[in-house]
Amino acid sequence: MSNAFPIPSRAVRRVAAPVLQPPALFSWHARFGSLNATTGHLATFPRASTTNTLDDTGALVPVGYQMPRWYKYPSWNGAPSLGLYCGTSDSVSWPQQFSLTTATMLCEFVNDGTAATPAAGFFYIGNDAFTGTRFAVFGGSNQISTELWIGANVAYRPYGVNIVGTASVQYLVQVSYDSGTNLSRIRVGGAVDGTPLAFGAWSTTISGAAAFPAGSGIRINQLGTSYGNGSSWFRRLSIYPGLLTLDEATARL
Amino acid sequence: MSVYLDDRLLTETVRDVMTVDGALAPAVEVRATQPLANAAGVLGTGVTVAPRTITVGLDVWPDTLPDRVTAMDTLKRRIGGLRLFRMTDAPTREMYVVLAGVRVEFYHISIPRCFVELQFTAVNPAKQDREPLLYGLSTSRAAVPVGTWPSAPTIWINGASPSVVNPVVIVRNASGTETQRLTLTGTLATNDVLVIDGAAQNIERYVTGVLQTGTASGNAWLTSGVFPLLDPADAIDGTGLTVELSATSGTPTGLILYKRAWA
Repeated sequence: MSNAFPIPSRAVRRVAAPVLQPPALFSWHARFGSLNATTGHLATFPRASTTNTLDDTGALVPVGYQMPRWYKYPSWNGAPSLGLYCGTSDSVSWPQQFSLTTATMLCEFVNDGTAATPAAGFFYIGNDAFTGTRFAVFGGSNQISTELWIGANVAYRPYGVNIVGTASVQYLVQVSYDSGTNLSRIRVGGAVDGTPLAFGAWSTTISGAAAFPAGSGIRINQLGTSYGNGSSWFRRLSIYPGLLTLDEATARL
Repeated sequence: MSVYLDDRLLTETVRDVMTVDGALAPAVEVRATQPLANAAGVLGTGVTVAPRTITVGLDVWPDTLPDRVTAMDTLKRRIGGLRLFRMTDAPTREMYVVLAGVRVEFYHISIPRCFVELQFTAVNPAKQDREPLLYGLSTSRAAVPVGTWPSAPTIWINGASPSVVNPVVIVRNASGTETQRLTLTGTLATNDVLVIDGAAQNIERYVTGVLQTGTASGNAWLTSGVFPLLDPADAIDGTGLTVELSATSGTPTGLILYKRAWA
């Protein structure tokens, strides 16, 4: 046999055990019982004081100082589910490395209690100072709205229906970004209590390619380091490349 | 019937899932036996459990031969690495698997349709509930349901005022008999917390939210006993097992978080 074109063989060595890494830009699920994302993003969680949480018997039980407030919500779309309960000053943040891109964000949460606190955050991408390019989903009366800021330009869309407290919300945002023209727009859809909500209209198109500022992170329950919701329960936050429907987004880890 | 990998149905990528072998068979622990001269052997304390092998047969039916290449590329992207595996007939249970082998059978080289057999290995052969269970802990016995395989819980023990001194975790079987005890030595003040990771067999100690290390770490508090394991052998039909806290002084409270596991 000719050796004119020897076939190189080189084993690919892996020095660590495989780690679950779904093909998402970011994905965190409360059901794994960790604040760290399945995509490997490590969480930062400041929360002062002790508090109570709800367990599987329906009893309120103490949570230790600065410990995650894992909370068994009695009915998430009809079944008990584990999530993270956040008060006004609570927040979980993860480092964020991706640039402006076409993506779909899915956040599953319950705004527990009365209507969403005006201007209080549900989830957020940006710096702590709430300046520069940033992405925010926040409350206002019964409405929960979304804004994408690129520099001084803002694209805004409200959720299609009013959100009452205790509703199981699957909040889905599509961000369309054209890197050739640096034009972006957003639209919002999802489901409430299992009833799908069709996507609303696209927002106005905004221009700009300004990257997320240095130190930007992904955050739930606050915008920057303030504007926290008073009582919100989070089950999942995932960001996927591309424009996905609700079924497609929920069918991904 | 279909198969999920990382929450995505394989039938999104292929025409059909034709066979699944090895996923439903209960995992079996094998106990070591110690031979005795001129007598029946006795069961030892060592337990081994074999990894589970799951074989999934797929009907890949693209329209053209080039499409077959694309289909195989797409399939390869979805099945490599560590994945969460579950079946549509048991959608609330999942297990971690790693691809161990692929075999492709062509019906005829010029026909796009082919049969693809995927072989996965689950180092931990048990399936787990997707939703974890959360219960408060105190000096009273908290009932914790279990599946058909042991679960390793995470347990938080909270400090208090007056301080909790020398906390203890106690597991009892369905008859109320103590079967496991983890004894720790130290003092938990009001804003202190111990986090006992039963899977990693590690204890973290937080003082006012700051993780302690070295001689001040939670592991340094280990005195005697075993890390609690929620064992179905302690339950009757999955119920009756209890977990409670105790202490030399002070009133301990806490939480237990775990997923039921299934053989």
